[in-house]
Amino acid sequence: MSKVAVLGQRDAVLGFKASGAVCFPADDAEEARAALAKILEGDYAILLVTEEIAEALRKELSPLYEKPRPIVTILPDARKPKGIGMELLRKRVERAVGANILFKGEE
Amino acid sequence: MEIRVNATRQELTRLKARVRMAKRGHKLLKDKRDQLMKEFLAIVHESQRLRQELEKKLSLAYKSFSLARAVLSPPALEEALMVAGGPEEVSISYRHIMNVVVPEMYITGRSPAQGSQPEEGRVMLPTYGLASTSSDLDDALAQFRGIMPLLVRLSCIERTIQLLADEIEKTRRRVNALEYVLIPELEQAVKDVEMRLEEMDRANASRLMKIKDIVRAH
Repeated sequence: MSKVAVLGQRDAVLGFKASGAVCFPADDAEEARAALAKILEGDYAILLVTEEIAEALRKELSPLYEKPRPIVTILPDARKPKGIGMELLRKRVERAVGANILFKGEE
Repeated sequence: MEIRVNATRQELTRLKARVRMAKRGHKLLKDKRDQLMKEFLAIVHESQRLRQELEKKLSLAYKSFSLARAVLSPPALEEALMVAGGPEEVSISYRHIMNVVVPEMYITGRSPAQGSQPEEGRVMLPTYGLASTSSDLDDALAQFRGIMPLLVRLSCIERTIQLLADEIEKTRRRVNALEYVLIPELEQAVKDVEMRLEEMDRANASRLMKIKDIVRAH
């Protein structure tokens, strides 16, 4: 049994507290780095990261994509979704298929 | 790299067996790649759909949450959130798609008051004081709770996509290596050996004829 961790700005993560996830509020990259270290020590199956933090911690997060757990998923931003999650998905598809077969109609 | 072998009949049969083997492997790997691709595409489309749904729902939830925050004082909000919601746990099991191990997760351990699946029209019992909080908070928290299963499913699918993508890439490389490198080289080697054997045959025949001529002349 493992838990869900949420890492992001304070106002973004508070709401998840009620849905049973463990929240790690972090308002800047420094705090987020410390929180990430703590998360990696614990037993978490899923790590949800807001777009802003995901961008700030790009280097720290990239090795996690290869690991079995936690599974890192990027949360769309509350105010203006930048589509980092979609971008990541597109990159993976491109690497596997060798061409961008999705998203054709959207560009 | 060129394949160098002695030009003997034994080596020739050995080479031919290798060609057959390589072709069989190539066909198998190609089938595997095609099947992986099929699974991959289906799952990619689902993930795309899920992410769009998530983005919509999440922005709604954030909206109602900020409404609740505007009405409540920060300490009251913190207090309410401290006890809100039971501990939620996720259990992981694994499934195989074409020999790729992919995770499957389920939400477990929702506190009984909330039920394992929030049903439509069923009132969820809040675990915080109703007197000190507004109804906006109830709405917002219910929305966040509804998003959770979606998030778990999406995480799972995204990881599956990544694993499948890696596997497809690997398989594709192998297929290409067999198709464009190993099989042509082996076939070239077979041809070389066959030609050299024929050449040796011809040399032998002409030598015999020559010897016969010499013998007859005596």
